[in-house]
Order: sequence, then C-alpha cells, then structure tokens
Amino acid sequence: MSALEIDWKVLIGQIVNFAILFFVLKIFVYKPFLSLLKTRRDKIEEGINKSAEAEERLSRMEEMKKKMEEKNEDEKKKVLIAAESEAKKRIAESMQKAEEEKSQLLVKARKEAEEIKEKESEEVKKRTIENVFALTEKLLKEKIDEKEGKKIANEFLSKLKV
Amino acid sequence: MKIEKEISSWARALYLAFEENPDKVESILVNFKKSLGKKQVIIVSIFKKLERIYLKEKRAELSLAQEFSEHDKKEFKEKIKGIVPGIEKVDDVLDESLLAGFRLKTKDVLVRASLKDVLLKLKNKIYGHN
Repeated sequence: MSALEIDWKVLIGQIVNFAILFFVLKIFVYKPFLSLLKTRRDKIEEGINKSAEAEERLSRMEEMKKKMEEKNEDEKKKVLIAAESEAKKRIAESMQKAEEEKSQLLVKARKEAEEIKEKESEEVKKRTIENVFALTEKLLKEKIDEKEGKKIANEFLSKLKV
Repeated sequence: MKIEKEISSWARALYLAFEENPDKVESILVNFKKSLGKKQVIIVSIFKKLERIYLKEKRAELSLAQEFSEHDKKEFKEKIKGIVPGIEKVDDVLDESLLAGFRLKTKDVLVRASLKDVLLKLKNKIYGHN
C-alpha cells in the first residue's frame, strides 16, 4: 500500500469523531447560543415595538395636550367673559345702590333741615310770644294804678257768675 | 285716737245736720246731747272741731292785685259773698303778680279773674293748649 492510499479505518474513525463532535457541539454550544440569540432578538424586537408604541403614545398625548390647551383657552375666554360680565353687573348694582343711598341721605338731610328749621321757627315764635307777654305784663304793671286796678277788679266781679 | 275719730265724726254729722236743716238747730242740739249720753265730756272738743270744719268749709281766700282800703276791701268781700253762695269768711292777701283783678279760692272752686289769668289764657290759646 502506498502513502496515498485511503486508510478506511482512520477515515471512519475521523468521521465518527467528527459526528460525535458535531453532536456534542450541537447540543451543548449551538443550541444555547441560538437560543440566546433568539432571546436577544426577541428583546430587541420588543424594545423596538415598545419604542414605537411609546412614540405613538407620546404623539397621542401631545395631541391630547394640544386639544386640552385649546379647550382650556376656550374655557379661559369663557371665564374671562363671565367674570367681566359679572364685574359689570356688580359695578352697576353698586352704582345703583350708591345712588339709592345718596337719594335716601338727601331726603333724610332735607327732612332734618326742615325739622331744624321748623324747630327754630317754633323756638323764635315761642321766644317772641314770651317776650311780648313779659313786655305786656311790665307795661300793664306800670300803667295800672290803684284806681284803675279797683275798677278792673269790680268789672271782673260784675261779670262773675257762680 | 279713737276718741279723736269719734269727735270728728260727731262734728261732721252736726255740720251736715245744720246745713241741711238750718231752722231746726235747737232740736238737733237736744237730740245730739241725748245721743252723747255719758260721753258729754267731749262736747267741747266736738264744738271746737265743728268750728274748724265750719271755717274750712265756709272760708275763702281772696288774692288782690292792688292794695285796697279797708272800706273798699270790706265792700268787695260783701259783694263776693253775695255772688258766691256758702261763703262766710273771706281772708285776703296781696298778689301783685296778678296785675289787676283778683283770684278767689274756696273749698270747691278757684275763680281766676285777673289780667294775669287773661294773659295766661291768651298765651295758652296761642300755644294751642287747652
């Protein structure tokens, strides 16, 4: 046999060795490695999916935010209009009330002034009457002498009826 | 106190009896004496009380604005007695504040007959008082 002859025994041994190695590698290396790769790929895919979902959510939220801001703006405007209207109403009411109070005060002041005037007038009248009577008494006292006094007394007596 | 009350009662009764029956004074007195019986010791007190009642009931106070002479005063008092019934005694006082005229006060009435009263009446009328 030459050196270039195929040694079937060695070849078969090599084949058997290779097959054993192949199966050992397949079971203990390739399978876990492929499983690891698959897990990693799934995770990456999941991450990508989640990222897309998050973007979509973000987009939805931004849209919602925009809508809410618009809505808020409208409500703000409505509130402002209502507040302005209320303020105008209150100002009008206050002015009306102030006007009424002013009228009442004026009426009261006029009444008081009239009362004071009347009172003073009464006082002057009373003082005048008192002065007139005091003066009359004084004059009568001076003018009526004993003779005149007797005459008056007799006149009163002649008119006396019991 | 009890005796004083009795004296007053008797005096008041006598006064009323005399007033109502001035022509039966004697018989009233006889009956009175009989009624007193043993209590005749109080008869003097009863008459004193009667006198006081009489003076109180028949007395009048005359306020004059001017001083009158005694003659004029007497004449004036007589006139008053003639006009106002039931007056026996008139006491007079001077009240110059009356200005002129007089005021006569008896047990029952007050006569305001002076210029002062006329002025007061006028003043009340002006003030609207009654």
